[in-house]
Amino acid sequence: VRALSGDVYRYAFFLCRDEALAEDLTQETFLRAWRFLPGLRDDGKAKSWLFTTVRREHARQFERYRPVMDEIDLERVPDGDADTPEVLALRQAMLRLPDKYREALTLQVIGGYTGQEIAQLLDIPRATVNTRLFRARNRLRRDLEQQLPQPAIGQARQT
Amino acid sequence: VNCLDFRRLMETSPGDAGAQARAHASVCPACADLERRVALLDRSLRNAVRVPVPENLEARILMRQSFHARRRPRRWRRAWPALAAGVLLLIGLALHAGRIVHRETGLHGELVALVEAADYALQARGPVRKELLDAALRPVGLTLREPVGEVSFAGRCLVRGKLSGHLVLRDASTPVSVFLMPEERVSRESSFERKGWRGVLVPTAAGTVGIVVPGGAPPDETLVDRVVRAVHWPA
Repeated sequence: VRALSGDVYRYAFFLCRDEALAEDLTQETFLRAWRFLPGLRDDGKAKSWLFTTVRREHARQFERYRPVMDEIDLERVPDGDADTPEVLALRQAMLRLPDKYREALTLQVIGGYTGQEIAQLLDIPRATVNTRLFRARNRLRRDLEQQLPQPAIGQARQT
Repeated sequence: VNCLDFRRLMETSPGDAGAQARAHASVCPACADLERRVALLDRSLRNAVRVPVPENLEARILMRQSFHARRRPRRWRRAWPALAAGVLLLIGLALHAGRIVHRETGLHGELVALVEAADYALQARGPVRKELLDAALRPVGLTLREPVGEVSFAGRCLVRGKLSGHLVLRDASTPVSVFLMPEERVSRESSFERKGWRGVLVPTAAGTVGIVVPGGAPPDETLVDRVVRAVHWPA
């Protein structure tokens, strides 16, 4: 729980964009994990299992109750004491990404998964994952260019 | 690996760069520069996803697990076939009963199920600002003509597959779930009580208002009147 609860919570938060729901999803996921503990000794497998369970649990909840949350109240985006304006701007930009782009990117950044692993977790072709990651990263760069003084971070030089 | 391959890799999965990609960057200044910039973005991304984790989350997870363990003693595991049969029997009875219940009674159950599934809406802190409240109801075609009270959550949801407004109001700290359903029609006002929830369905000129509250008392009539009066329905 100690090793993985932070990552699982953060993944849940970026899926649902709501702190209370993210905690609920995290608790539910670990409750399920506890029932299968004997089969989850391998840390890598455990992490993938937990991430997949968060996704399923999130989908299951939204199958029943499907709120439409296209407007994000940016004043409610959580911030830590050490977060810089640049980090907060990037966090807000991530939360504004369409669900499918945000999900692929958070699996890459929080989970540390490769493109191939994300394709397996989401059960979609690798090319689709690449497209989603490309668009997610491009949108973030564009958003940051608009919000932050130049040069924007991570901007590719045009050649 | 050429410059185009390298750029594709950097723009999708920079962490997947292998020895060949690194070798290319070591002899191509433009790609090395791109790699440096992408590394900066990735470092910022790693910081951006580190949202604060709720205090004592681990303790709450462990507490919930131990509570669950106490609730499920081992002897229950041996009895699971009987339990499963019982559950199947109950499901069968419920399905049979479901065929004969009135359509409006079905809506009662649907609203209670929605409130239970969306417990995070009940926990929302609010208050929701007027512009966000308006933005939440606009796609449903609804507006509020006058204040309905303190709103702690505003969103939209599907009630029986139809887009509806969903608000949570605070009435003396009790969360009041309000469903504004332009595409639902009920013949008369009805109140209901299910699974520890009390509620009321009120027909309006162009839709239905559903209000659900926890506990033993039905929704406050003044509050119900206030909500019904405040909502302007699409023509």
